[in-house]
Amino acid sequence: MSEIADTLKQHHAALRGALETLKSKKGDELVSELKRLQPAISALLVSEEVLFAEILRACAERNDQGSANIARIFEGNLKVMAAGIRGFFDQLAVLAKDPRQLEQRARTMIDVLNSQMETEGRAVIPLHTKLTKAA
Amino acid sequence: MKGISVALPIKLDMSHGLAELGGEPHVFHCHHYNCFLQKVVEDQSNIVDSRALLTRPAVEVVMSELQRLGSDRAGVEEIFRTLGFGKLDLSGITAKGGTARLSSSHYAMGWLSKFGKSTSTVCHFAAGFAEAAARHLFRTPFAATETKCTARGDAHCEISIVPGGVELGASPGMGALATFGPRPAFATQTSIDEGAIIQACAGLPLSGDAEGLVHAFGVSLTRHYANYYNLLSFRFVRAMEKVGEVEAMAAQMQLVEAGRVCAFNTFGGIMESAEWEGLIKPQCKTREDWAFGMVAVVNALGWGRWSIAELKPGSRLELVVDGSYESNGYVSAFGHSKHPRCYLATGGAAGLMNLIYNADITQRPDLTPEFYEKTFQSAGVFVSREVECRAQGASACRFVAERL
Repeated sequence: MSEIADTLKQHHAALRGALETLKSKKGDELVSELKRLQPAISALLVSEEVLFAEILRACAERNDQGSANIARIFEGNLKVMAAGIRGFFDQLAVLAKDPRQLEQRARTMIDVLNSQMETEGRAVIPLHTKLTKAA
Repeated sequence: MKGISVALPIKLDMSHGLAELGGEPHVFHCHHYNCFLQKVVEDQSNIVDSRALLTRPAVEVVMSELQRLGSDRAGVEEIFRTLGFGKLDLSGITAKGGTARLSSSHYAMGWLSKFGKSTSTVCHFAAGFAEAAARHLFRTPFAATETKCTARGDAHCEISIVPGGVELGASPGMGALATFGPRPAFATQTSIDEGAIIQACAGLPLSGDAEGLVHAFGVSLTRHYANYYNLLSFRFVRAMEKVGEVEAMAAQMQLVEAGRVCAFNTFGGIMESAEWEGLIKPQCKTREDWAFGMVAVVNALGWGRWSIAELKPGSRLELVVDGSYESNGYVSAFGHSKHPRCYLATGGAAGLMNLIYNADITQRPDLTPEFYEKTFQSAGVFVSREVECRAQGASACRFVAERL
């Protein structure tokens, strides 16, 4: 297992519990908890991007167009979700003025992050392992 | 839109939100969806038999329809033209095989406009259609392969038909039809007159012109075979599942993406059309009415009955679809599923909300690929999921699109 895949797994382990806790937070507590989690979520997104860069590099080295096609599908999905999540944190100060909207948007972000981590655990990390192990 | 006379006995079944011809459900879809969906499958040709996946469903569903209609050669060519697939000449086919010729092709034109020149032939649906026609007309198996294609730079498209060919599966036909429950109360809380819109859409001349093409709403439309999409999409996922879980997940992700592409281009094109301007926009009192207006149009496309169950402005959409064509086809052809199967509608729900609240379709933006990327990779993007599906045993399919 490469360093970046390990890092990503550590992010997953740390965030899963934190996101579960986040679900029960409201109002100011939710805002402060989101601010506390922002660096970890940003680090997750960066690690995901690094992982994809490694996967695509491995595909290029192995001239494995098929795996590159598959990887780009997951990468495209990540780009959409990462842009949305970064945008959410950029807008946090504004969203905090409307607690109900913030709660709903936070729930959506939690769902998206959980889904993203599940996809990475089931598909992206195994793809990375397959490609880097054989390299 | 230059339509010419339609002689096809297409029946609208509003109790199931479907349009039927020869026992097959037909749905409107544009070249963006058709070509994107095809590319999704072709991109995996190193691990699945993409050509068979793209062609065989066409043979099965068209064959079933032609047999029920009892069409002669001219009738078959007329069906192809009227449904918007292009102009097909079957005169070169005999009981010994031969060559079918396309002087215009929806898929070739769509591919060229969307992706540019192709390195291979792209009219796989047309090849399947021509094969079905030969099997129907000469009552013996054939196999078809496109040998020339304008998308590849050839002067015209040609399909070689040779005797032989595989045994066909049965088309799901009209599928597992749903009994519609009452509409959610919220679905009618709008100034939009859905009945009038459906009636007006039914009267639009959306049949192929002399070249067999339907130019409308800024796109090239087809009145396609719902079961072509169903068999193609679900078999593609199955084929990818056989390769592995990673591949299966990627396939399903791309089918939802195809739905987003469809919504952005087709819904967007409709909401920027003269017809929308004249008929629907005057009924829109709020931005939310644009969503209700679009759902009313969708209910004329043969995609089942869509209802907005909840719409929180700028925030959340809950959509109920009774009798989605995807679930009708899935349940009939594949039975029960452990997870949701309405990929097109899932992407469509997100696409609709992103058009209205992120792309601000009310200002008629240019619906370019760059604008698509900007819209779907922005802060506040809407994401969607199917939370209940008939394929899993629910009575209707339910989708949620929420702002991230």
